Amino acid sequence: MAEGKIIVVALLLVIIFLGITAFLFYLEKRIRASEIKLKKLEEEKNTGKGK
Amino acid sequence: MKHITHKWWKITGTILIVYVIAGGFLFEVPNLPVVQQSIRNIYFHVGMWFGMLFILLVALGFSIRFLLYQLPEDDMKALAAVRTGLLFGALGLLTGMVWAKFTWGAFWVNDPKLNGAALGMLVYLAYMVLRGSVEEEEKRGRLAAVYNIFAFVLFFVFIMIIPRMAAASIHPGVDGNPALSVGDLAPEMRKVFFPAMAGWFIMAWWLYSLLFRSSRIDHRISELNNN
Repeated sequence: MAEGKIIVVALLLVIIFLGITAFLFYLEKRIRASEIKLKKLEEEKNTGKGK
Repeated sequence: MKHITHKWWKITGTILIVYVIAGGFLFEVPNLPVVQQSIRNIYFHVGMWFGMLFILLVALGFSIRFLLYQLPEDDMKALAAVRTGLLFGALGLLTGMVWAKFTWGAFWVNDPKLNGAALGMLVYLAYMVLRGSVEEEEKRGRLAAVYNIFAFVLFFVFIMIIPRMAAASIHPGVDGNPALSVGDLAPEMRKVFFPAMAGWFIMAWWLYSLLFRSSRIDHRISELNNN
């Protein structure tokens, strides 16, 4: 009985942790997209297109 | 230094921590008196605390580099590392408090090692306050870098030197680190403990890199707006 409960606890913690990791991967994607966008903006500004 | 954006090490860190949660809760551990099954907390409490020490050492390195080369990115990296260190430190304290409740009967006991850890965290919180109190970027960077070096030394004194001098701590590790000493950690626990250390180090580095990259974006946007 107790063995079954500890498996549920471990499973729940794994699910919570994977949720946090999925959020970190999502943040990673958003940050990467922002970096690319920003790089383009900086290049446009440096070449004078953005003025 | 080019920032590592590859996915493989993040996936490795995730797999390691999933393994640590599963192994930490389900694998056999020695049934010792007093600590009993709470010994499993070693994979989380010690792992997070060492993750914090690792990332605070990274912060120290970037602060020294900032003082040498005056690059704003180094200051941002040091700040991101301290923020990550504070999070890991808070998690380390929380897991330690849960462990203390089971073994010593209270969430907090008046112990030189515990009080030293709390004081050390306060020293790093003061780093954040110091940064918030200076407007000028270059001056803030220099002050913060100098303070960060001082904070690391003080933290080391609070958690390593004073508890050993007091010699009255009930927290393990007054004569070295019991988790890392050969013979102190049961062989069956090593197969979870060492992956736990690697996993928490990777998680700390990942979080630090995300915080640094987002603050670098903020910095670049404000630079674009100002020019």
